[in-house]
Amino acid sequence: MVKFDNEFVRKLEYLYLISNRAFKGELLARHRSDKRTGGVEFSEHRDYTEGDDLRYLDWNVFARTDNLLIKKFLEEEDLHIHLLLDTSQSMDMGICNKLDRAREITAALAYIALADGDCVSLTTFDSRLRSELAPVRGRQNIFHFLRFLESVQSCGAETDLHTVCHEFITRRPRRGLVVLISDFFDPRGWQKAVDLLRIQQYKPNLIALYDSSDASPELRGDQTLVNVETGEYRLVTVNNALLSRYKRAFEKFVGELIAWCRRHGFHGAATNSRVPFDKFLLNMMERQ
Amino acid sequence: MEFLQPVAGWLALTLIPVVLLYLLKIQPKFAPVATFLFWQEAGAHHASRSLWQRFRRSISLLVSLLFVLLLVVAAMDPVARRDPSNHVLFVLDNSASMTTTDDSDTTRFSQAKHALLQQVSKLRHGQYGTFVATSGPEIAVAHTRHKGRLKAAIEQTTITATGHNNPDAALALAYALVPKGEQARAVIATDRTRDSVANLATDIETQWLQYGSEAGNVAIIHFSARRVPGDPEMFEGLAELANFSHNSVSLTLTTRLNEVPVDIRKITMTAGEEKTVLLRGRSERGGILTCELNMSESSKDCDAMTVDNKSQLKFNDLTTMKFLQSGRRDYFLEHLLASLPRSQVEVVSSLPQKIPEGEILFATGGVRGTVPQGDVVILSPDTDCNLFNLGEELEFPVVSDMNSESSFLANVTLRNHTLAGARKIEIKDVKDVRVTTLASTAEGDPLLIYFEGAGQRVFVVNANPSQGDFALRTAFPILLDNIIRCFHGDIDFAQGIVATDLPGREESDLRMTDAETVAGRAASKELAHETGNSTFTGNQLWSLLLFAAVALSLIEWHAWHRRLLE
Repeated sequence: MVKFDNEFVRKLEYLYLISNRAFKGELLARHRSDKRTGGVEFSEHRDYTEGDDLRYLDWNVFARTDNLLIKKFLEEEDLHIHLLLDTSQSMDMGICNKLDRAREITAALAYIALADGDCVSLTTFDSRLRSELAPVRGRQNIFHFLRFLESVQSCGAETDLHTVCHEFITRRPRRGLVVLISDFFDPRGWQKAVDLLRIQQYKPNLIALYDSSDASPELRGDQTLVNVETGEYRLVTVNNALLSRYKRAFEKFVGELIAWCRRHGFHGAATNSRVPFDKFLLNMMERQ
Repeated sequence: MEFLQPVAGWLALTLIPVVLLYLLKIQPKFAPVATFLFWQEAGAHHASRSLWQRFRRSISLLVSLLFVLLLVVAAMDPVARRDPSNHVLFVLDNSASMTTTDDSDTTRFSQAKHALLQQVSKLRHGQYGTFVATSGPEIAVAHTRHKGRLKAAIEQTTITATGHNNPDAALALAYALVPKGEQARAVIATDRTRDSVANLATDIETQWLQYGSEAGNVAIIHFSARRVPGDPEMFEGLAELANFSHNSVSLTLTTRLNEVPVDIRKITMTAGEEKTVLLRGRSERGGILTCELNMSESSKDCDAMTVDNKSQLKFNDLTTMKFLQSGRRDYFLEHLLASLPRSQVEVVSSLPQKIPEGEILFATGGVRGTVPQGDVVILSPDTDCNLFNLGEELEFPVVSDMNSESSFLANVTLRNHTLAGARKIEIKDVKDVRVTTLASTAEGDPLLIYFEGAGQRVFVVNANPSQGDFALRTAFPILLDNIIRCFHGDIDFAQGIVATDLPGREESDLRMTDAETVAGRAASKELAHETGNSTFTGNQLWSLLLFAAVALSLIEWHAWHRRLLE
């Protein structure tokens, strides 16, 4: 069970500073709304049409060129970030517990977003949405987040991403960034679920967590495999050939996830749970 | 099939832990996994469905059990054929001819021993064994089930160079130990052919293990020596040599007395020749007289046996016999004693308390009081002494009873002879002194008496040699000679001494007749089979089983290893 102590908070602060200085807030792909008027930052000109507000007429250009042009501006909007944390049974296992690592990553992302002034919400899920932390803003709310994360437990249920995403969009939260932190071990697949989010104008960011035993199980001989989520068991004889095929299947799974994200212009990352959260996030920033 | 070590069957109990371990091993190992996604894609569910995977564990258990069973049966030492006999008689020829090496580096005796040891190993549980050596014959171990004792006795048996080789007598001796009604078989290891042994018991199943083949040999078959009668300082030896080979040989015959060479001869002998060699030497001293033959380099191949190349006998030193004479002067006796070779007669007036060793006191007329310690001959006693009291002169001193078995009376004819001057003797009962009456009258009056004990030997001749014709008869000097021999030992320097350390003609002659050669070669082939030189004979089943067990374990290991490498 992870405990968020002072040392952890110091690491969060460090991550935020790094993300701010080195990557200019690229971590969460700070969102810009192109509203064309108002705002503080000039974007471009357009031709004057009857009824436009003369306050935004570019008199300098008119003086030089006798053309009537209206200034267009970019407006900075608050980013709304929805953190979806997988607490299914498959997450609560591993040599380095995946759920503990997911909590740390979630806490780090929440801190960076809150420190940046973004609005952050947190929802746990397994076969359906479980507990929720209402959207909050401001760095001072990080401790609220940390306490909430400390209290999160796995209910022992299986993973059902499609149901979860459907339920999420049904609640119609404000559009923004949806960060899915999960192992994505849904037997029904994850792509349709993530497509639901994408279709509904959310921007899914996928962070896949796996354990060493998921990637390369250290099993030999006759084994009875037990699925921790469904309780099913299978009798198998593990030999080198089978392990080799297993590893290829796993690598293909992770590769497909990242390739899908790249194809659709979203961010996707996969990490072993034994990698410290801060190292993972720094690597992620560098790759972006 | 039967088992030589049935007690090893208890090892079958090891099957129980094998089964238990198997049951523990097949307990399913549960491995929790996060998802079946990747196992399914890897095709794990197909592998568990195959028939081989389903029955592999059972097959592995069966193989393990079979492996243990093979080891257990091997430990029980099975033999293909059952030996019905309850008693096995082992006969080993330890005569001199068994020292021959023939064409191999080992002697016939070593090969025979080795074969018998293997035969002992074949004894099944409950069989009795008896081991007899042919020289003698001698029973070394009788009627035992203890294989270790039999083997130790066989190992410790040595060659008896002069033993009389008697396989049939040895077998009969061993067979006498078999209880009536019990079945027995015999194993005889020898270099003689079966046909050459007469009177072999036919009602015993006999396994004849013959070793050796025809070989040439040169031997000393007889060696004796004596001192020359007229010149005791000179001795002469007689050596009989025989060339039992098909080639001419040359050799050197060396005679030594106390390791000092006294005679060296170079001798050439043709095939089959026997030669007598006379040797001479001079020595006052006695000692060990050795006669030895050494083959020349070119003839060494013709001498297969070396135990008969050397013989020894013991000569006594030439000594002077000293006789003391006391009492009435008897010139006849005095001259008689002086006539003995290397003798010295001393007339003594006073008797010592103890006669020195090697000297004999001849007391004519007896000894007054106590007879001295040592060797004493009393002739014609006329006074009492500590051993007897004298009475009146006998009226009819005719020798009626004689102890002809006594060494004193060897070749002495006195029966019905009158020993004039004999007196009645009352023998006293002296502590620790044994009395033997060697001759007596019909009334039982002792005439020749021998006292022994308490440190003295006293011979009494109850007769007066100066009366009658006893002294003139040949019986008198013969009697005196016997007494001196019994007291002094061998005085006949001219008597021949025969060496007894030679095997003899029969043992030294290693040549075979045509029939024996054929039989020997056939027996040698049978021998290779009987002694188990082949690896896979009935008694080597255990090695076959062990090999099968090892092969099985290798196959099982390979199969087990392979399924993890597939």
